Amino acid sequence: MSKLLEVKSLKSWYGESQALFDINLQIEKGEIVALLGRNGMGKSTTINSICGMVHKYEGNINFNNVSLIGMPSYRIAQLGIGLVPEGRRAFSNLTVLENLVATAVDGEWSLSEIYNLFPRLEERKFQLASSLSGGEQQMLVIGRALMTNPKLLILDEATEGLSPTVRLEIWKVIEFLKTKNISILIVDKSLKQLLDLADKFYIVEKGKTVWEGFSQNLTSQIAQKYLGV
Amino acid sequence: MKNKILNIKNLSKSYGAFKVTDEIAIDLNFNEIHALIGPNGAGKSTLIKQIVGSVKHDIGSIILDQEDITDLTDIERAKIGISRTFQVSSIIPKFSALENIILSLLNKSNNTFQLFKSLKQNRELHLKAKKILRDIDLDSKSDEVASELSHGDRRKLEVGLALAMDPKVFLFDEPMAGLDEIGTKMMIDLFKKIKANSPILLIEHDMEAVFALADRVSVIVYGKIVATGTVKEIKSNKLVRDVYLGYEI
Repeated sequence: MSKLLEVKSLKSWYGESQALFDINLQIEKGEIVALLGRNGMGKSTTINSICGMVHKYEGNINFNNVSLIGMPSYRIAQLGIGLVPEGRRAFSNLTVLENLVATAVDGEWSLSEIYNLFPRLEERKFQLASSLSGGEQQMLVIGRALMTNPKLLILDEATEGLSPTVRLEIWKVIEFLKTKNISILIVDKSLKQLLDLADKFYIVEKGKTVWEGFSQNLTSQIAQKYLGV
Repeated sequence: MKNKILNIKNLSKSYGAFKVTDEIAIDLNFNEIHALIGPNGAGKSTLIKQIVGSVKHDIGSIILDQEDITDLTDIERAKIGISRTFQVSSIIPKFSALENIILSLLNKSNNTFQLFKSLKQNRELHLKAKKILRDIDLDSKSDEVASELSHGDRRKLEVGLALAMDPKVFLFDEPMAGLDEIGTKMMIDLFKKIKANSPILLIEHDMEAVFALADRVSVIVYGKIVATGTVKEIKSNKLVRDVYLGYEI
């Protein structure tokens, strides 16, 4: 495997307040990496920094041997990072179809692939995104990110606020994406599912990477210490 | 019914031919947590909006503490004791956590402009707000600007805003969403404490939390209540397992 994303000694600030102090992580091609931590510890800020949505930071973020430091979000997306943001954020005034094609890039993932993955999106392709249920919006946002044919897919709390059956559906889709060798950085509170799915884990606490390892090393003592699980 | 703090009868709302809520009958007893579960898009949040008055229902009635509030506005309903949280945050992003709580406390007392008084003059208010921040485990972040709080911490702040209103009933719309394990446990303990004073109608997809908290559970599918019962009854209901719970429970 070869290195896809490397974050080294990352520090980030929101205005004057420092949110990240020393984040380090690495994702190889085809790997699923889980970023764990309690609320407010820096998981989403790490993702926002990678995606160019934090404007004051220090350290190195290299993607496919290109430095992302100082690069605007749209350029980072064009380089191949697809984000499924926390809170869904579909383009509410666009239809399902418009959402899917708005940022699409040619590649393996096309409309028909997305409709195969989420048949409900095809049924609702002419509906406004705002009229979809929460579960359907989540499917749409995952589909929208895949339509950019990303080299790295980032899923920030993609199963949050979903009914149990829809949550299971989303986990099945993520398992399917794993079989397609898509590189994924995932933040989610469902540790049980992540332990079955992820190749590697990083835990952040107070803006620092405090633990990294594989599922077999993630003991209940470590989970209890850092995650309260 | 004297033991019912909230009694909803025959509540319906249609958008064109689409019935979002269809003859909903649901009630809330004193000292009770009644959970409302159902698939995404089943009509749960619309029902909450109808109860608080931000969406006008077509037919039906809402009785709060033996008073018919069906024709009251959303503001009037909030003043007489209905307090809700939102799926999507309603906090003021540029205010600190403490200022958000104070504003909610002032809103309850109709004295919003006192926010700009000095700390000394507002001492009692600050103490109340600090207590609420302790209850929701946010006292260490009281001076942080709300927009810089994590998603999970903003969820806690939402609940804090509802607590500040000291209502007759709470309507909580997915309060556990985005919370980590410790945050969820904290919220479960908090809800158990507050239900004695203000019963809770709880919309939540975190089934562990629902099963730990609910005295009764109702299930809504396509705008209709299809089952109501205890946690045990709901867990073993085949229809509910098929349409909502799946088989992970």
